[in-house]
Amino acid sequence: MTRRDLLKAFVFLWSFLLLKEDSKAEKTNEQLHEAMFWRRVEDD
Amino acid sequence: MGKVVQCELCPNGCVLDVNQTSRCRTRINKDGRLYSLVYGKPCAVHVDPIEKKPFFHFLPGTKAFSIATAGCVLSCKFCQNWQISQAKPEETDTYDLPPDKVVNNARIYNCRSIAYTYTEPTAFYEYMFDTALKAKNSDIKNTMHSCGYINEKPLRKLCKYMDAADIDLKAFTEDFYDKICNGSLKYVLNSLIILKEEKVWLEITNLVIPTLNDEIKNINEMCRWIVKNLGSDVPLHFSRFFPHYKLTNLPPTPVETLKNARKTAMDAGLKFVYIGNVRNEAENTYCPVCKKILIERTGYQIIKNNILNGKCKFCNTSISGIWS
Repeated sequence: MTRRDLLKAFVFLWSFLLLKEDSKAEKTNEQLHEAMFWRRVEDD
Repeated sequence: MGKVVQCELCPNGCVLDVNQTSRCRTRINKDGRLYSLVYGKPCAVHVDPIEKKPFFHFLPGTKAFSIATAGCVLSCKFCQNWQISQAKPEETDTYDLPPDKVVNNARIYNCRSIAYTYTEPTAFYEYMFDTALKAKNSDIKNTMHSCGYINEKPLRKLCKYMDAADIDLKAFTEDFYDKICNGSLKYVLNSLIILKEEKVWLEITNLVIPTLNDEIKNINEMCRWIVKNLGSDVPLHFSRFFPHYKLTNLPPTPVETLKNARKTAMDAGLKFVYIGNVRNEAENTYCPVCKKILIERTGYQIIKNNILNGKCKFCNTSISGIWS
């Protein structure tokens, strides 16, 4: 395995981890449900 | 800038900057919009006898599919479920149970009703509301055990789907609500009146705590207010206090105190007064006219039911409640 191969493997792993983090973030937002009774304060 | 929101669900009226959470711990301001953190994520799910809520005049002997999420709008020093009511949602273990699954489970477990209970259902209002709507469409009744600390608009909207409510009237002084619960009595009294106006079946629970709310003068005042504003048919449950959470220094309520409270309530004109958390004859329902036992109970179990078509089997007196 050359240095180049090692670098490729590293980049692949790094992008995979980044993608995983991103999907986690999406999941968290999906779990939020908008509340029914609230207002923007500047509406006054 | 311009992303501050105010929650209008309960009298706390939390004003929240971005990423701040509400006092009840279940709402968050995300980029200028308010979200529930507990929708479809109950931390307590049980099948209970309806008597446990306690409801004594609502489908006796049936089961209630009971759910709660983390969070509460008050912070009572005597809370019996403080491990979940005073917890943040992320501090509890939760189930993935969206409203349709709650209704399906209620059906599977042969429950006539769903109970929003244990913590404070106002803290999971959206989840309760959507579940109640689906339950109503599936011929399953909805009940809640609440502290009644909710604003008028959301409460009236909820009443369209709520069949019964057991409200904790924790004391009859502003001082108690302020110092012990970090709330205010006047909003609870207003909620009781709204529930009555909206024709939701209503029962009231009063936890009698030694030295804090056990003065007969205040109990008498509370009972007279109930009779005058809600009627003499509203069942009142005096519940025995046991040391919990921040009030472990106090002893359990003496049974004699509870008996005195019951006598005071009946003298004030209330027809159905119960004592809970103690095995005694005041767990039974008595006919207010012929005085015979209508429903005999041991704990949450029904031993005998002498109510036929909503009437006393012995003297034919109509008994308030939802019996079938």
